[in-house]
Parts: sequence; C-alpha cells; structure tokens
Amino acid sequence: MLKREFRKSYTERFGEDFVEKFVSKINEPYPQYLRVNTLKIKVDDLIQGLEKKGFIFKKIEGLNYGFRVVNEPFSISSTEEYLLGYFYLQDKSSMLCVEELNPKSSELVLDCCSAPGGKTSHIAQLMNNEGVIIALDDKSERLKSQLFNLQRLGVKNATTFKINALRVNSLGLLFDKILLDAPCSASGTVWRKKKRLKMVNKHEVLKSAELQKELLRKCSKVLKPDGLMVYSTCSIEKEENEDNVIFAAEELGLKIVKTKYLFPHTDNTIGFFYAVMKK
Amino acid sequence: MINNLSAKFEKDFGAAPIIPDNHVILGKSLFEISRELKNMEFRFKPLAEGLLLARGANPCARLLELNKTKLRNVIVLNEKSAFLFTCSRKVMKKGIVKKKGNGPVYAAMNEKGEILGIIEYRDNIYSNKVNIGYYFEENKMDEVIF
Repeated sequence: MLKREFRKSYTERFGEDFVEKFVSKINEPYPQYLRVNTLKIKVDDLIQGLEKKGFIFKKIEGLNYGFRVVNEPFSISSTEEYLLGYFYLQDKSSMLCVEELNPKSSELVLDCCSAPGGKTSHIAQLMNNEGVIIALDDKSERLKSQLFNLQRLGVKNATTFKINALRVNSLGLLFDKILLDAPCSASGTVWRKKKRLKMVNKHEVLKSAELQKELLRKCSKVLKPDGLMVYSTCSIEKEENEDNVIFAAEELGLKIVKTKYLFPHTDNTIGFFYAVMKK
Repeated sequence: MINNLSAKFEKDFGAAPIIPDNHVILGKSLFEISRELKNMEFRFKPLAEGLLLARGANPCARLLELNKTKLRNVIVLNEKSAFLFTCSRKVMKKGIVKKKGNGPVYAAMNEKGEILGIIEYRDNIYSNKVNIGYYFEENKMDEVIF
C-alpha cells in the first residue's frame, strides 16, 4: 500500500480515481520489455529466432525495435541471444526518453549518471555506433555492469569516466546533447520494486530534488547553445520533476520543449517523468 | 602489448590477428573505438573506451569475431552444448559438431558461427577457459570481461 503522505499528495495532484487505478495496477505483474540491439542484429531475425524458442512478443507502438515480452517459457535473460548482446531488457519509459533525445551520428553526447549503460547503449544504437558518447558515473559496482553491458552490446563510440556528474565541467567539453537521467527517490518504480513502497519518504524526495537542481545547473553549463537536454527521473514527485523543470526555465534560462509523465495504469510502464529542454 | 597479443593469438589460433585501425590502449587493455572517438583528446584517463579487444595478451570475443574466418583452431558446438558452455560447463565430446585444427586452444562457436568463448584441450578434457557468460558468475566479474 502507498504511504499516507504519498497517497494524499497524489490525490491532491491527480485525483482520487488516479490513485485507485495506480494502486490497483501496481498489484498486477510487472511487464518485461526488451530493446532489440540493431547494432548487432536485425529486428525480425531476433524476434523470429526467439519465437521459435517459444517466446511471444508484442511490439511497442511507435518503436520499431521495442517489444513487450508477453510470454516466456524460461527466463529470457538465460538465452544465448542475451549473452550475445542481441537485446537489452529495459523498461519502455527508458526507451521513450532516449528517443526524445534523438542523437545523431555526428554529435557529441553526454550521458550523466549512465551506469549500468542501458540508455548509453540505446544512444549508441541511434547514433549507429558513430560520433562520441561521454558516459559518466561514480559508482564502482554499477560501472562494472556498465562496462560489461557496453561490451556485450557492441558499443564502440562510448567512453566511460568514473566521475561524479557534478564535476562534468572539469572535462572541458561542450555537448550537442545531454541525457540527464538524474538520481532520484525512485518513487515511480514501486511497480517493479515493491520494497520502494516502504523505503521512499518525503525527506529523500527533497534531498534528491536538491541534488537534481545542482546537476541541472552543472549540465546546463556544458550544453552548447541550441543544444538539447533530456532530463528524466523514475520518480513521480512534483519536487523532483515539475519544480525542477521550472527551476531550469527560470534560473538557468532553458527553454522547455516538452514534458511528459508516464504511469503504470496509463502507459504500462513504471512511473517516469521526462522533460525536453533547449538552451 | 600488441606484439605480445599478436604472437599469442598466432600461437593459439594459427594466424596473426587483424587489429582495427581505430584502436586505443588503456593500461593493459586494447579497445576498438569509433573514428570520432579516436580523434578526441581528454583531460583525464577514461575507465574504458569503446569495445574491449584484448586484455594483455588475452583476446576478447570481439577480436575473435573480427578474425573469425582466419581462425585455424575452432570447435563448433551443438545447441545444447553451446548453451551449457555459456553456463561455464565443460564440453562433452558428443556436443562437438565440428572440430577444426589441432591445438590445446580452440575458439568455441555455435552452429550459427557466433563466438561463445575459448576451449582448452588438456588431458583428454575440453575445458571452459572463458565464455560470454563468464561475467555472471559470482567472483569472476572482477577478473575478466570477455
């Protein structure tokens, strides 16, 4: 069950009906999604091969390479195709926010807080393994997973630095595009990780919001004029999302192009937020 | 480093490897990188760049994949054996579909020709030297990314 403080806040923001549907949805099984890694295999070849093994998929609307796993006779991550890097298991929301970034093969792209590398490899896929991605993270354990994932998925155009994203200016680079998938309270992930229901609290939300503002400030300084930044969180808290977007517009002078919330009961994803901003 | 790698590769697999022009050496690791990345200079040393080709003189899956047609020592595994191999099991003789070459070291492939790892043949046993699922084994993720 949702904590009282969150239930109250969601009811005030989205209404009673929303909260009932949200709570009902997160009690259903969480759907699994995969992104076909077109750097290594054609979409049809992978899907047909896995269907022969008994897997059933449903295409995600508007994404040629994104699928929901409808039925799996055994764990899909135990397949050879997984180890060979032909696909990556990733929530639909993560795919959609990278689509919004729309990276091009000639660009210099920054992926802040990149580990374990899911979105980084998606960016590489959209860039056709050309151009340059700078991936930053400072957590050693997660970076190990990132190095493995980028290797498995065949990413050639990414370079990984063990640097806290708050120190991004020390690289001395200006970027065409930035993906800031900020550390957050992860209140939107309660469908996938039920323990978050008990763990998340307002104090953590406010603490995260402060860090996110600082990250936005640092990232805006290394974004080229006319550059594009996608800010995303897996939180559905106003303080971490709308409030930070207002901060980016008013304090940092960024132009807000688009904002979007994704919810379990409306979009069949974890609770997720992203904002597309231009300098 | 590249000389040592080439010599060992030739000894194990029967031909000197082709190493892509766009490569970079970081510490003891050799990486294949994009053309644009090759042209960049950084203030700090990155943790990793692009795709790992080799660690020291030990080739990774990508280097074997790039030199697939040149490999003289190859063992092709049937579907079941290929799956078990990626779970770090030894190779049973009945799981071998095709064996090419004669040496203590073989590149392991599935029937689709995809590189799965390296097999070492010693004392009548085909042992699992390294494979693409190695990373998932507890206590081994620090050792190697193949």
